Amino acid sequence: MSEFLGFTDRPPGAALRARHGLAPSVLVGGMAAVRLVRSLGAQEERVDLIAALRRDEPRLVPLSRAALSEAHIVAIMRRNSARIAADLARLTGLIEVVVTLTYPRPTLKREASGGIRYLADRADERRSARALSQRAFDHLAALAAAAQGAHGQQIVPFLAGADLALLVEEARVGGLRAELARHARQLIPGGGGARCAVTGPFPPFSFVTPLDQEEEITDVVRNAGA
Amino acid sequence: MSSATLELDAEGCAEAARKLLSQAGAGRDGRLKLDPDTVEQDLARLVLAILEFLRQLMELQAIRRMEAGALTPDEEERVGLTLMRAGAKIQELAAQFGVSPDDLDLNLGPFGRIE
Repeated sequence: MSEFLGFTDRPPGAALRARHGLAPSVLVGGMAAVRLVRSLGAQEERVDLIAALRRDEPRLVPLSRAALSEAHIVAIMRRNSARIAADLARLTGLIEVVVTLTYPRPTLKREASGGIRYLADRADERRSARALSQRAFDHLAALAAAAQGAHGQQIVPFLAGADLALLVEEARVGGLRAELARHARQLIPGGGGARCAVTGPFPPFSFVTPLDQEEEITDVVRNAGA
Repeated sequence: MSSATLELDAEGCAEAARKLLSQAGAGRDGRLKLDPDTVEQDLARLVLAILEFLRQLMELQAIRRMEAGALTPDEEERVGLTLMRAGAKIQELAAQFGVSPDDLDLNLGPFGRIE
């Protein structure tokens, strides 16, 4: 089975294919979908491979969801050519760094308080944790914006679930990590076992424009093959 | 009471299961790595981590339904009590097998934690 990893606006060169075991790409217009013939075992492998590809081929945006057939990828590319082209222009040379705050899980309340009280307490704890995260991430976003102004860095923050994803220039990652680590200590109110982790760099998955009606395309391809 | 549901596609399920096994005592290839000298504790960690993972999922779903007003007070009481007692029992069993509470708190990597 082949798997498609991302898009580029020209066919990958021979050296790229030799190094990473890529199959010839599917071409639609002036755009290529990068295909891998072997199947990947885990999400981490996919992320590592795309990151390695982007080091050789900066003009490559990752595919946010799996596309496992040629018919599927062609349908996606035809439907989304303008979005993919815009992403190629916007995301080239930029990588993603993720800031994650984790708080210790509160100890379970014992039976005395009753079932309704237990659920209400757990709901309150989740709301408090979300509020703490939001405050911390607002601070981080402001920090990122300030860094952008001061140093001409391109840093775009994006709150993705419980994480803050930052889109940054690859050359600036080291300095940004150090700066985030310095500020992280101020972001954790009272310590209490909370941790702030900075991970990456990753391909800019959080910043890829969602593809139009991908589920519908999947259905079309599945029905065509049936 | 209706059953809890979690929406994940096939790829997401496979990845979550692999991460779960990896965190709970299995290797990167998904195969269990059991040490003959600690097999009881290794198996207990795996089973209890999976149970706690499922308990947390059900708890999250129960909270969502409670906040949406989809549960009667009687259902809230029974569900809450069940989840609370299940959590206490899992912690109790973990202590008996020498498994740390931290080992039961799974981080599913790209899928994050249950929040």
